[in-house]
Parts: sequence; C-alpha cells; structure tokens
Amino acid sequence: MENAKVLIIEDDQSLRKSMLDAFEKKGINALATAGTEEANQVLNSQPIEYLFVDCLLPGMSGDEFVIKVKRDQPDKKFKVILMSGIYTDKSTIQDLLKKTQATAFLKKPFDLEQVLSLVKSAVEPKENPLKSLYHIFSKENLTTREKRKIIDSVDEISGYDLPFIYSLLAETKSSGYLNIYFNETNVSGITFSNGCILGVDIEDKTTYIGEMLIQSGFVSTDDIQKALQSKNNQRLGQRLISSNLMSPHALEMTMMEQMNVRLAKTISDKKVKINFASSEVELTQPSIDSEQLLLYMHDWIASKIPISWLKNLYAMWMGHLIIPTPSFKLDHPAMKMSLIKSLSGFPGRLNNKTSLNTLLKVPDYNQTALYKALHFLHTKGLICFSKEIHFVNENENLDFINGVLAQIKTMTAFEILQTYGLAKFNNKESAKAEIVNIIGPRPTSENPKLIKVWEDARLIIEKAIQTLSTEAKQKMEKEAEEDEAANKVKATQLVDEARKELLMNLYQPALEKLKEAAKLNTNIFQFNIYLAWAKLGTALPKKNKETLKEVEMDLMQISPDERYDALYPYVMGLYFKAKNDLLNSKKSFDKALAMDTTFISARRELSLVEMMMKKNKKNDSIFTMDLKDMVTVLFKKK
Amino acid sequence: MAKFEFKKENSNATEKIAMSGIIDEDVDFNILKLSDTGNIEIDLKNLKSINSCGIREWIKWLSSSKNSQINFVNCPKIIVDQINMVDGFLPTNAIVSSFFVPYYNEENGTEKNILFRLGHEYSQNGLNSPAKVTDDSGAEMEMDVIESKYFKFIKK
Repeated sequence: MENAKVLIIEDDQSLRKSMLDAFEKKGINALATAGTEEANQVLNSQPIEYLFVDCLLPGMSGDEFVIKVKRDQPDKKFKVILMSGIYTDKSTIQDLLKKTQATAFLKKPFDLEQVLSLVKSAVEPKENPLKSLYHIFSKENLTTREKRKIIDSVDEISGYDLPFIYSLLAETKSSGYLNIYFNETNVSGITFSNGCILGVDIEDKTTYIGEMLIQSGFVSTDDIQKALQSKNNQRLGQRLISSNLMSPHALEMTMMEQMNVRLAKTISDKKVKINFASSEVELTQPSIDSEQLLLYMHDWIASKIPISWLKNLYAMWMGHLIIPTPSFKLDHPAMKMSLIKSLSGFPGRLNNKTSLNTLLKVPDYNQTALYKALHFLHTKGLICFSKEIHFVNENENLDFINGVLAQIKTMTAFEILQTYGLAKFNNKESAKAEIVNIIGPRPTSENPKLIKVWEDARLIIEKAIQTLSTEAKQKMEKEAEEDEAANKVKATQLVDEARKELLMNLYQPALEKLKEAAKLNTNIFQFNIYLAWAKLGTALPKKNKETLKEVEMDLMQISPDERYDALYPYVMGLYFKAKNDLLNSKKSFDKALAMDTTFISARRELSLVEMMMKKNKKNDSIFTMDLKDMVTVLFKKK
Repeated sequence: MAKFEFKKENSNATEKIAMSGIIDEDVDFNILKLSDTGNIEIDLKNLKSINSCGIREWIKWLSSSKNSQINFVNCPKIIVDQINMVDGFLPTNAIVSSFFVPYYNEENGTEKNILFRLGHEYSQNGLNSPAKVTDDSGAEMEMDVIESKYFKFIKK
C-alpha cells in the first residue's frame, strides 16, 4: 500500500487484523507487521505519521525499537503510541512514555474507538465541508478562528455559494479582504469593515461609474466630458461634484449600485476558490451595511440563483427540521421582503418548526419562491437545520423515503452523488456515513413496507457511492459539463429565436420557445425579462390575474446586472400597463426610450399609454363622473 | 491599519527586501524596482494582509524580474494561501525558503506559528513536520491548517 499513514507493530494476529480493519473502515491507510525487522523496512520506504507499537514483541521490544529508530534516523518524524497488556503500572508507563517520547499509551484490552481517536487528522473531515459551511449559523458565538477554519475548509465552491459567504462575513462583523479566484489567473476581491462592504474589485467594464451615472440619468455624456477636461487628479465622481455637475448624494447612490451590480456579477455558475485575509480596515463611505445588504441579498437570491441549484443544495436537508436561530423574529425586516410575503403564513410555519419536505406540500406555495425564501432566510442566518433528520410519525417517514426513492430511481449514479453532496467525499466509508442524513437511520419500526423502501433507497445510494473514485468522478463531471454546455447552446438559440418573435409581437410562439429553453437552461442573460415580456404579451388582452402573478415572480428574478439596458424598463412598462398603472407605465417607457432612442416598440407603447391616459382624463371629468368618484378625485391624497 | 512599508539593502551580492503591513491598491511597487539578475531575498515576516488589487500588483511586480533568483523567507499564512491559489504569485524563478505553519491547542485556545525551513521541516519530497509542538504550558498543539491545501505548493 502506498503512502500509509499508520504502521502497526503487533505480534497478536487477531488484534493486528482488528486494528487494520478499523482503520480501513475509517478510510485511513494503514499497514501492519508482526515484528520490528519488517517494520523497519516499512519505515524506510513510507512517510509514516503514526506508529502503534506493542511493547512486548519477540526479539527486540517495542520501546527499544522506537528508541533505536529515533536515534539512528532522527529525520523520521512520527507519533508513537505504545500498547501493552503486561506493563500496566503507572510508573512503568510514565517511564516508557518518557524514554520513547510517545504521545499515548494504550492498556490492553482497549477499545478500537480509542485507537481511531488518536489518529485525529484523518484523510478528510467527517462532514461534507459545504455542509459545515451551511451549518455555520447553528453555532453561536463563532470565533474569528472558527470562521476562518470553515472558510478554509471549503475548497472549491460554486459562485452561487458566494451570497452565503458575504452574509457570513457581514453577520459576524468581519474586517478584511475576501479574495475570490475565478481561475488561477483571475482574482477579484471584496473589502469588509466590521461587516460592511466597502469595495468590490472585479474586472468589469460595464460597471464603470461614468457609464452608470449616465444610465441612471444623473449626468449626461457632455457633463462627463466637461468633468474630464478639468485638470486635477480627482476621480471622475469627485470631479463631477467639484464642477457642480452632480450632487454628492447621487455619486454615493451610484457607487452603492455599482457595488450591488458587481457583487451580483460574482454570483454565477462558475467554480471559485476563496480565501479571507482578515485585516483591520477603516470604515469609509459609501458602504453596504447590513440593512442595505438585506435588500441586495434578497434581490440576488431571487434573481441570480437558479431553482435547480437550490433543489440540489437543499436535497441533503429535505427531512431535517428547520430551526429558527436566536436572530429570527417575526418582525425582522427580512419578513417584509417580497419572497417571504409571497408565501402566506411562511414565518409562522417556520417558527413552529417544520421541514422543507412538509413545506413543499403546502398547496398555495410556489416551489421556486419557497426554495428562494428559505435560502434567503438561511443565508441571513435566521434559520438553520437540525443535525438529524426528523419525522413526526411513521407515515411521514414512509412518505419521505418514497419521495427520495422515486427521485433517485430516475437518476444516474453521478446525479445521486451530486444531488446529495456525496461527490465531495474521497472516501466511500465517509460517503456511506452520510446516508442517514439523506434517508434517516434504519427505521426501528416493524413496518415491513417502511423497512423495504428504506433498504431499497439505501441500496441505490450505496451503489452510486461504489462508483466514487477520482477517475470516475472526473469522467462523469466531464460528461455532465458537456451535456450542460450542449443544453446551454440549445437554450440560447431558443431564447434568441423567441426574442426575434417578441419584436414581431408573436407572443405565443415566443412563450413556447422560452418554456422549452427553461427546461434546458435558464441561466441565460435576461431570460426572465423575455419570459415576462412573452407572458405579458399573451396576458395583456385578457388581463389574466394568474399570469400577472407569474410575471411578478419572473420580474423578481431579474438580476441587477440585467437591468442596465432599455429592455428592462420596457418590460416594466408593459407590466404596469397590464396592471392599469398608466403613470408608472409611461415613466418606464420614457426611461426605455431615454436609454435607446431607436427602440420602436417602446415608442409605440408610449404613444398608446399616452392616448389611454388622455382618454382616462376625459373620463375623469368631474362633469361626467358620479358623486363618489368626484369626491375621491377632489380630496384624495396626492 | 498597518501601512505598507519596506526596507531594502544589499548584502553579499544579494538584494534583501523586508516588507511589512498590507499590500493593497495603494501600494506602488514602482518604487521597489527589482534587478533582473542576481539573487533577491524577500522577507515577508511582518506582512499582515493582501487584497485582490495587491495580488495583481504583486504578480506584475515580480514578473519584471524574470532572470533573477528570488528567495522568499518567513512567508506568513496569508502569502502561502496566495501561492497555493494564484498562478504566478510564486514565479518560476522563485522558491520559498521558509514559511509559517499555524498550530493550535483546542483546550487552551493557544495559537503559535512554527517556521518550516526548506531542507529541515520540508523538502520537494514532502513534509518532515516536528513530531511535537507544545504551547507555553507544555500542552501539545495541532497543526491548524488543512494539510492537503496548505502544503500544496511544496510539490508545485
């Protein structure tokens, strides 16, 4: 065996075998010899870290052997654990420990758990590192070291995990630099001071402050030119203020929005590595404080994180209890956010401890909104999950396992490993230990139906775990990536065709294409804008309330970085028009035209809305309206 | 906030630079021009932190000295982390002669940084970490890093 971590020197064959089996089960590479001669050869050929040695061996005794190796080969560094059933008195043990510099002494007979506990820094952490990260809010009073350790333990994460990291650093009032590595040559960074975000450094030309000031309508291109002509070393924003072309407040607002858009851009399906360098950082303005971050976080989770990713993430907690943390309050500002409000009675249900599995059965709950709302509260540290799976009764248990079984029966081995976070493990035994967190422990009940489904599910998951090897994982990952890339190409084509149809007012075929694209990949720039546009186009003539509700959900899923062109205000204009809010509709079409003067559809809609407004105004004439309406018009609060 | 500072001296044909503080966007490496030949030793013991702008500037700065032999000494954890994660942070003409490894004792909450030296506690073949590290009270301390991640650069 290559690179064994542990060497056992024990002449008792049965003990030797038991110890080897115990290490193997824990995924720790171990070797065993019956005598010192063979052990010497192993020590010369492998970087052994732990040496378990019996004191009474035939020939040279165990302690003498250790002293000899340490004397002859001082460069060999390993921890020594002495074992004996004969030497058991305190003074002899102390003497042996001193002579051999051993770290422990095991009196025979000993428990194998004792042996394993001595080899603490085993090959990998017992828990999936990502799970440890998302469990972080279940631990109170985390020290800086613990936070750092958890962030350090996470190797490669998805860009979709980043809001959780941002929130973690904000909630725990961290100061320092979060460095994000998108690949080995592209590094971005976020600066934190006492939990506030002060700066976002990403390479992105679309969020230059000048561009954003123009798009927000604070300055014109001419103003920028004028400011750039002024001869000083100030940054553009400061030059605009010094030249009285813009107010400091406008600059502050735009800089905050710049940070928001840049942070949103980091949240993607790309794999990233992170590293937090804690440091004292002076708090400067503008900064994103926890209040502002709450709004942004809601926006990012609603708009950037795909439902498929959330389903994967929460599969491992499906049957676990959702526990409100001490920060959870029914009047917490988070409870007023759209995602939470879209689910009636949601905070109350959480307060009474429930599980995702139960919440998914609430008839009126939109699944996307539910996952996103849950993730939002989890990210804010307002809820966490119980360590163990929980069922109220046997029926719920059966129901749950049946659900898992139905799902995993349709999945490939790789999909099972990915969905339940098992692909992160390098060792099959550690992965198998996770099964109880997926389907719960083997039911203690006598119910044969329950036992059968549990066993069936366990077998399928175990079979998937058997495929767990680095080569197999790489192969499966590559295949999955290729499938995903092919799906994305197909989805992009469909969205592009739908866009052309939308421009020709062919809403129904466009909607069908977008729905087809959604099955393949929704992670396409401005997808939700097109979807909302198509739905509004088909709904407008009927003013279908259900469709409007769906559109609201689509609009909620448009991310900040997708709003910086004429299309977004145009679709917002259509939405307001569908809701009969003509004033806001007009404002939105005006904005779309200000951004793109050649946008013919926006011009046509603007004319239509203006005509409707005129008509309404006529109808609102106090000479033609009834008394009640007249009183409302004359006395309503402006 | 620890401002970036450096000291530069020449000793026995080796250009020695000692840095302290934080490397961020305000650091101007132009004033620390490196020679393109000979030996350069960079002591990073008192470096406190580095941000993404600092990382980019660092890479640009070191790439200006491709023909010298650069030797990093006393690298703190924050630098080892970058070496492991960013291509070019440790250029091909550079080696790490010594770096700190954090140790921790869970019961006492004590922390200690142990200097690992090339040829002693590590070599290209792997680690040869001290058998026992103790805190001031004599309690045994454990390595406080994830070994597979932290020592990755040794075999790079």
